[in-house]
Amino acid sequence: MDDDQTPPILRLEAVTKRFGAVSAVQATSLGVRPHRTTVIIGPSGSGKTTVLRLMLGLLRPDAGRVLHREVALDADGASGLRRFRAETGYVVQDGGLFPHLSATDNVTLMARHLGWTQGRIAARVTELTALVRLPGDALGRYPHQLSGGQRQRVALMRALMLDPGLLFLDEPLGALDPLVRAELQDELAEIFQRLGKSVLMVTHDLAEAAILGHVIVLMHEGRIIQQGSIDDLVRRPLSPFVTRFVRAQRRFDGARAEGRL
Amino acid sequence: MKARWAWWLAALVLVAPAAAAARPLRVGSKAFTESVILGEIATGAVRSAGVEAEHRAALGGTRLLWDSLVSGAIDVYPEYTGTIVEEILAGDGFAPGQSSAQDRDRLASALAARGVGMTAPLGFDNTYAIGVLGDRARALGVSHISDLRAHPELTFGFSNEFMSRRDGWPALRRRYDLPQANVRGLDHDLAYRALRAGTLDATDIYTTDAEIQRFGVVPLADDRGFFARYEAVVLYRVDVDRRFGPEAVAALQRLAGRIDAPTMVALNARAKIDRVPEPEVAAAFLKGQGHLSVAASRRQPWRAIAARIVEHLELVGLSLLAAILVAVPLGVLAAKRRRLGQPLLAATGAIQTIPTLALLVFMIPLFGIGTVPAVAALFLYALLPIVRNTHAGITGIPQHLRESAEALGLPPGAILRRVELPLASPLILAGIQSAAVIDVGAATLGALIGAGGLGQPIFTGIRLDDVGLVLAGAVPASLLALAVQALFELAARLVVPRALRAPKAR
Repeated sequence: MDDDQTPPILRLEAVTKRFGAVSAVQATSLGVRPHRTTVIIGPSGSGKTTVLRLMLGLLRPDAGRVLHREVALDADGASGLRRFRAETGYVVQDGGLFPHLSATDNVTLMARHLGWTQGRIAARVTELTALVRLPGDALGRYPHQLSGGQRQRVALMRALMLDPGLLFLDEPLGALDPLVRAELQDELAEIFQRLGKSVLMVTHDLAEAAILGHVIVLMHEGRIIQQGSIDDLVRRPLSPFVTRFVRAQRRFDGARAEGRL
Repeated sequence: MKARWAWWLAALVLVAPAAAAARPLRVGSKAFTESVILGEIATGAVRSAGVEAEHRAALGGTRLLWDSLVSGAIDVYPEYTGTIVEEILAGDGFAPGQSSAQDRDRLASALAARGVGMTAPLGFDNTYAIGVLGDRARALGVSHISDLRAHPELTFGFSNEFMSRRDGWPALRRRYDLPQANVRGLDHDLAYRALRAGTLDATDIYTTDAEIQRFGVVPLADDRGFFARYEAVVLYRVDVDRRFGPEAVAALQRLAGRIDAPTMVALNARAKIDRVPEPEVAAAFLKGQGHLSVAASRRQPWRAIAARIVEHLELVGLSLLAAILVAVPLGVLAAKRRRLGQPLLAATGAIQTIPTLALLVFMIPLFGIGTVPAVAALFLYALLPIVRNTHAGITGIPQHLRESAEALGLPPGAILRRVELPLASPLILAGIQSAAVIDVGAATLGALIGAGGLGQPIFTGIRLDDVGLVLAGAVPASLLALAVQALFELAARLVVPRALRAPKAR
């Protein structure tokens, strides 16, 4: 599945990040390939969210470099970082929507700051509303008046508003009930496919990673254990941990195979 | 908009002292009836000599009046020779109890070295005495101060000034070996009522107090000659001659020898017991002395209260506005720069621990007396709640919201304006609200340094034992505090984003 050898658009180069005495990420290198979805998966505390925050420039590495198109993220100071972020979209677990702004105001905040015209903003909002299938009456509501699924759709609209090349999602479906979650997994897969974005996503759910990811990166204790397709992880595990992690996530399949169900 | 207000404020602070140059001659007086009457008489005498003059009545105690005179905030005030020797020139080798013409010359030259002139004595000696109710004194068998040694169980209450004076309670106790431990400070005008109520056995009195006869108080004989003579004089800045012409000082000098002790007791009684306003008491006296009749201006009581409310609102409004302009940026700074934040919060907190009255007095050397120092003190008081709440509001924003804003690519200024300040606005507004309520209360003390406001009727009421006058200040002050509270609830509807107002319906 991953036979694409084009150079990564964004990559970590031997990055280490410590929080006090704890090394959250240790000498890790990882690339985000253009027009592909890279999913980082692993148990809690494995360092997957830290990797994503390092790549967004929200954290600075203690060692190593973060390179965007082979240029260090902080090469051009704060304004360079801001230009990079205008080319990225970011969605967190509960949306990270600003509670004092309506859905529309959340989505259009950055565009208004950049001085887009009313017409251009309205056209883009209409387009995105259709893309993420948000009911039209939800646009005027405040975050606390929306359902969990609607909040994530609005957050995705906000992330896509400036049509960024890069999309970061940190457990975007983690707080949703299973039915909404399944529905949104399918929709996200379709949206990523259609838009051709370069996506970096963090999840703890192997099925979600399998549905959305071209490349799956398994992390454990601050290190990448294995990366490749879902087939690689299931059929060609590089360590006993990979096998254990995959088994733990596939107990339903296992139980059926053993005739317990 | 914000910048323009800041300029206005700076201009106000700079212009206020300059404007003092062209003002009328300013007479001050201490916060007790006799001083206010003497201040009124001095003002009237100067006016009848054709010099424009105004009276800043009941400003405070000796230290405040003297400092105001030396700094030029006032030009004239009535004082007592004993106070000059014991308090003002303390340590300059003036033995108490002396009042020969020679001593007065030495006193005058010591004052002249400080740029202050002194008139000849006005004609009465208002010394301290220890007063006990007549019945109580007879029951205890006490007629001299040394007799008090036999009664260690007695409760003493002294005016706050007497408690701390060099020639006050501590020295008196040493001179007479007095054993009493139950001693407290209170307002001089409340002391007589406390005597009558039996909560006090003895207090410091002045020998010209109107209440001595009314309450049947007996001054105990000073058998060890402790108290100095307190001859009333008028102090004036020597530059009064140059600034207002020689008529002003000449008019003050003509008061010398014109007020003897019975006259002063009668004037005090007119004001305190018959409740005649001091300006009228003074005007009647001056008329009797053959001065041009000086009409005592008497405002309609309700108009007067309205004017006090306006003054009060001015004090609160100006100080609060300045505090908002300074404290919100400081709070943001404290939240953004952690190393600066803790010292900043500690500093504003430390200001809050200074008693209001002390803070007001600290402002006098910097800003003189009147509205400016009061506004400055209230401004300092209003800082803490606003800085603290702004800091708490900004630091309390969840990390994922701050990072979401950062990840959008918004610059720090836009994040502050569009995300952080709106999210912190309920707390910031609550901080401003408590600052406003604190200021409405604290502003009543502004009357003590000549800033007017609703404290004026309250303190005059306490001085004259007039409950109606106290209420005329206290009731509007309380209503004002309630009104401010309501106003801010209304403001919250305008400032705080709609979604942050109602409790989250989730």
